[in-house]
Amino acid sequence: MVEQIVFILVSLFTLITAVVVVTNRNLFHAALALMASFLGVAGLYVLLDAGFLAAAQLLVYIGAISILIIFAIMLTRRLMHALESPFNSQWGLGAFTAVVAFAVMAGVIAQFWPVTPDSVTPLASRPEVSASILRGSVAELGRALVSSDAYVIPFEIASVLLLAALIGAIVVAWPKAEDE
Amino acid sequence: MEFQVPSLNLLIVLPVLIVTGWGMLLMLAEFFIPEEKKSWAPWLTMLGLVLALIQTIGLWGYNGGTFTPKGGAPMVVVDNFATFLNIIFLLTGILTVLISIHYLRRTGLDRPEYYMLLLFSVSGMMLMGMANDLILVFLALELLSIPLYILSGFAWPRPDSEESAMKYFLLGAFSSSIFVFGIALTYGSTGTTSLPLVLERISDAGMLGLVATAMLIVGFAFKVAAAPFHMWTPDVYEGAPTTVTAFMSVGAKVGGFAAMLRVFVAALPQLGEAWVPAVAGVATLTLIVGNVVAIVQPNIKRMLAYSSIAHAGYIMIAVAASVNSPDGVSAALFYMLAYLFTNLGAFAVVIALEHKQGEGVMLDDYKGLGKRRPWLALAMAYFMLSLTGVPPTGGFSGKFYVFRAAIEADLLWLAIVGVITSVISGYYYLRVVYLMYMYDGEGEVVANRALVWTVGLTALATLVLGLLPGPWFDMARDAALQTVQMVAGG
Amino acid sequence: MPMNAFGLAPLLLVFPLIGVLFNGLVGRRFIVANRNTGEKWSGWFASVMALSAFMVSVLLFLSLRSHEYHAEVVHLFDWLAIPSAGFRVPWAFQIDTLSVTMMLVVTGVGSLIHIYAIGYMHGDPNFSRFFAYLNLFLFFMLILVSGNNYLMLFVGWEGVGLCSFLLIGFWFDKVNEKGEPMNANAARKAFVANRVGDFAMILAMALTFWSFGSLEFEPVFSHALEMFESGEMVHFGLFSASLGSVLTAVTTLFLIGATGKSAQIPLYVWLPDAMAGPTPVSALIHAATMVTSGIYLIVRSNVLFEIVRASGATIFGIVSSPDLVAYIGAATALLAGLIAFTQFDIKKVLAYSTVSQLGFMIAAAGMGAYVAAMFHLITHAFFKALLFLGSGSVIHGMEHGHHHIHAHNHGKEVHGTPQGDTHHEEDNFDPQDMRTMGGLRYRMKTTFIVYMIGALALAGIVPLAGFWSKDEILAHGSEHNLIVYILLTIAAVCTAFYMGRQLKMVFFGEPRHEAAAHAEESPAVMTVPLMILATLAVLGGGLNLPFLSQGIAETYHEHPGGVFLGLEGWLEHSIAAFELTEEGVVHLPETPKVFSPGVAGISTILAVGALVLAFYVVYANKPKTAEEPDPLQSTPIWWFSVLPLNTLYMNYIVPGFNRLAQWLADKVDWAFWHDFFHDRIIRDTFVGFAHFAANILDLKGVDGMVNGAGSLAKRLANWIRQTQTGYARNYALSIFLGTVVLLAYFIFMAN
Repeated sequence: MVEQIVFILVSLFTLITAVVVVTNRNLFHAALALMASFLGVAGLYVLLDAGFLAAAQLLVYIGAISILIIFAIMLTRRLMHALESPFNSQWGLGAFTAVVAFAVMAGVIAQFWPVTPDSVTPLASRPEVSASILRGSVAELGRALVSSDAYVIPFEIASVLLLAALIGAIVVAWPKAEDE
Repeated sequence: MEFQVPSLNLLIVLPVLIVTGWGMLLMLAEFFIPEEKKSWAPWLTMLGLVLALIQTIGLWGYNGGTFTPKGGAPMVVVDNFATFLNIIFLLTGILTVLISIHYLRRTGLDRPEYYMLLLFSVSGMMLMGMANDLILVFLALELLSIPLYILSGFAWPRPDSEESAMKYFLLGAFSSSIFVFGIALTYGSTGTTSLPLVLERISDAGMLGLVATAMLIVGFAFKVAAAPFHMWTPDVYEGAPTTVTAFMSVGAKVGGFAAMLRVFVAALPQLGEAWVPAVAGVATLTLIVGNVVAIVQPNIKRMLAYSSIAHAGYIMIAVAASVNSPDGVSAALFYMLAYLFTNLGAFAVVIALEHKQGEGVMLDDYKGLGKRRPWLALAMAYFMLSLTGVPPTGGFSGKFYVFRAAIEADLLWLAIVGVITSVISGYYYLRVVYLMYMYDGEGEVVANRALVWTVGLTALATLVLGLLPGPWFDMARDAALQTVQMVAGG
Repeated sequence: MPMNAFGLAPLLLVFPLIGVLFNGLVGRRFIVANRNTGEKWSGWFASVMALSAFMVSVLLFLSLRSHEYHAEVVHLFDWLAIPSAGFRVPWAFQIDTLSVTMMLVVTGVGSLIHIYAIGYMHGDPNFSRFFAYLNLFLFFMLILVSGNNYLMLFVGWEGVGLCSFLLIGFWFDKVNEKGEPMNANAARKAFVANRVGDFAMILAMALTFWSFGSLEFEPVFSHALEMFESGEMVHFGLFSASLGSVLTAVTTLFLIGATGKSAQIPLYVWLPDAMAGPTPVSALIHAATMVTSGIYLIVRSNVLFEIVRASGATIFGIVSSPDLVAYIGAATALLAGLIAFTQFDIKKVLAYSTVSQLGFMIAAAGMGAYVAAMFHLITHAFFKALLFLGSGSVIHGMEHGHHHIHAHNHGKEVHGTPQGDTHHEEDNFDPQDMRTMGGLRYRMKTTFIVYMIGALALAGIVPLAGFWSKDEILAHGSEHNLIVYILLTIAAVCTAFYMGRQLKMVFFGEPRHEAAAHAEESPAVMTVPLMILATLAVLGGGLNLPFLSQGIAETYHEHPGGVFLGLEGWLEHSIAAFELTEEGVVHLPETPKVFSPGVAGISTILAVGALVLAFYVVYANKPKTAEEPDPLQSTPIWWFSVLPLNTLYMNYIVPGFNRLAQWLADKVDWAFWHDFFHDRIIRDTFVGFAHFAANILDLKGVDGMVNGAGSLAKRLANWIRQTQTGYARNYALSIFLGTVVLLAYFIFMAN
């Protein structure tokens, strides 16, 4: 029961801040509201017992993405005074997309309504996930990343990927001969 | 702790290793080679690609995999499907290097990083065909894309090049996120990302499986520039340096289709009833948008951008046909082979006319080419005919096999859409021919030897594929059967 | 086994290809080095290549004779083949009497036109390019007629279309007085109109392949016959359809293809405009060869048409597809014949005449008179090529005359300047306008004589070639289809009349322009081919004399291959020598010969009458000056000839006509309108059915559709393009929208 109340509160918080994001004319305030909304989502993860996800949500979304957005606003507009109309040329199309997206989600949920323990069919056939993964053991994760019978190849490719991005960053940042 | 010998077969992934390794080698070599000898880079790159090509051809007929997790299926597979596609990617790389050498010098873009990024992107494409695990597909997709983002902006500080890179990056990231969401949902519904295991479990995945499929379609459709996920294409193609445009119009598209075919045919055939109509619908929209909008483009790079959108539509027809027709996959493979030569050939001519960056790319610049450079014009006319699909050209043979597969798969209406849009496409392709031969015009043409060789080779290949497609289609069939067998074998 | 030369068939294509390469690669250098000898090299090389191809055709002809006329397939290699599916489309040559006939016509007439063009194109800056195109055209035309499957036919079909497109626009710098590129526009129009036909061809091929599993002629035909005999249905996956209805679709699509290539209603509009190209091109492509490929297609597919006829299948229960072919042909023959009345451009008259004669052939093919269609095709190739080349000679002469006055007035040296139809003209003088001609018979004697022969042959005067071939068609009509017969007879009268009018205006009377008074005869390189063609136009009827082949028929059955029996006996080996009844295929011992003295008599009397009418009544001594209006415009004779239509016309059309013309003038884009129409209709709303036909049906209706198709696509494209705003946020929204729609589909539809 307490859990229900907490859930409703957190959800309301998430939704209200999300509404502020799209209605506030001040871009900076909107960005702050977005951070708050992300925080709400992290709270939902906690309620779902997904501690790792909640931490990741905090780190990635609030720690990185939101800060990036705020930087972008700071670098392109005058901070605090960046007033924008929430309506631009494509608000109609945007609203339409949002409504359809909502309908889609509602449609999905409606399929399982009312929720009973044995009605969660899509997940019913889910195979057993090994306990170590659920535990989120860091050692297990590390071993998986470098074993040849696990994820070594994606790991290596990711490193090549980062190398390519690094070269790219150099190309973009390096002054051109003509500019000097 | 007991020591385990890793059961790896690195020999079969050697082509990819060569290409990535070569990229790193180039990076090191840059330190040791003096500035005035910088012209080594393209030739060294070429050497690496040719070595990889030889190794790849040697793998023809091999069927196996490596990097197998405990109790799972291999993450990387090498079968004829992958080998066929790797040949396409390596040829794309080689031809791109050939058309780039002189172009980069005269536009002042000649830096070794260009070739490194090219190599990394090629390795990403190769992994697209070999990946047997959704995580790997995603990483390959990114490895393919990130160098392309940078290459699109390689001509900075030219605003259109920067703009093109930025748009491509933003939208690419956006679509990738949807794609990853799709992978996550697949994992959520089946508990695995390995394609053979997905195949086993997807029929029980229910609604989540379907949602995942839709999102995967979005990711691939973006990469291959299918409508309505195509809108970045004209802007990016126009703004990027033309050699990069040529490279991505073939490489990125074929790469997208490589993984799409593998995922949809090898892992999701049971959902065919759901995704075939969706892919067919996307194909129809793509064909209409690409072919119709191309008509009004005054800039040849934009026109070819829409043309490449349209061709994505034709390949999509083959994808839609691949579940119910044994020749769907092979038709797609053959089509991509023909498209590789025709499109790169056409771009080589475009580069010959682009005497300065961004100049000489309007359709009007083609006026009178028939008189000034009869052979170049003839080759261009032939490429345009091939893109239209007039026999006897590689483009015609490709369309023939694709439409045949579609009819075989009971998608007659889709084949008809394809035929009608092909007829429409004649309007803008042949306008180039018309301009070349019906008007007088002046304009510089810079065709150095490498470029002329490229044009000649691609025209010859297009002709061979048009006159004698049989053996090549048989090859494509060998390549496709592997995929289908793999499905049958679970 | 007697000797044969079937193995030489590939040379048919090799020779023209060598010609293309020679003129494409080095021809220009020869000309740059030395204008006169270079032109000789370039032109004669191309001509020799054409002649070599002709020799190959003759060898193939002889081989067929010694081979008892059995069709031979020379297989080069497989093109599109899927062995496991038992499917292949090879590169192979079909050597039978039908294709060899076409090869002989194409290479024979083609060679003469090549030689003629050496003189005609003299001094043109793109001399060698012209010959490269001509050889390229021959190359594709020979692919078209020699292929053993529909796909090769289609390759040739597309190729000749491309060459036609390139050659119409050959003088692409020519502009009309509004500064619009005339020839380039004409080329584009030909292109757009032909695309419609091509599309039908693709669909027809797809349907054929789907129904019979092959695209090769022999397997398709034999399979179709088997199915007809067994009454089998055609299965398409879940559906199945009766053979008759499938073939009705196929043959109707073939018909649409043929209306595009052979300029029939409703796609004929491009052909008159195509006359903007150099005259040898008009003669070769737009009169003798390419435009007949539609007839070749129908004759080649005669088995399919006959099955439709025998099965009694109809299009929506109205008309069967062979009958539709016949009606379209006959209607085109008449309509184009009427329009030809009102033309003043010497080549336009011939152009409409060509459309009209092609209508005769199509009508014949539709009535099942395939031999008659081929016969007319051959004789028409002779005399129409002759007429076009003759008109080229007239134009050439008029230009000389014009240059003469010009030089006289300005004291300038003009010899050696580029010349041709009207390009590089400084003033408004039009050397193709018949009103400026007159009295040329004295200045250009040879041209006059051969032109006269050609015109009389076309008009169907005994015993010239046109008489025999046209009469055979008419005789078939009188037996099989009275409506077609009547339409064609009126069309034949029109033919005689407009040719009489043209002869009179060009060669008789007094010169109406100084240029005509100073016209000069063309050089021998031009007149010799004319004389050869004139001989053929006189003797061509001998190919299929009605009395001849009947007599020899028995001889033939005793000594097959021993004698040449006329076209009938010759083509019998390729064209259905069987009749299809409800019970099945009944092989006929021989095709009955149709000749009806009554029909021949009527048509001869009518033709002579029409000629006399034109010569001695309507144009007896008019027009005297270039400005005087055509006498037809004021005489009531015209009204009698179209009385039934006239009543309708006076009651319903005239009242609305003024307003319509004004509306068209105000609202509709004029780009493609003929200037003639522009001036006359708008200025004084001249009334006359011929003009109604010429201007409303011909120019507005169909042109409008052809141009409309293009502009509709453009408008759609512009509309879609508006979404391409350049803003990444719009693009992202588009992606998102697409995702959501896909998701909605997967969740709600696919579940």
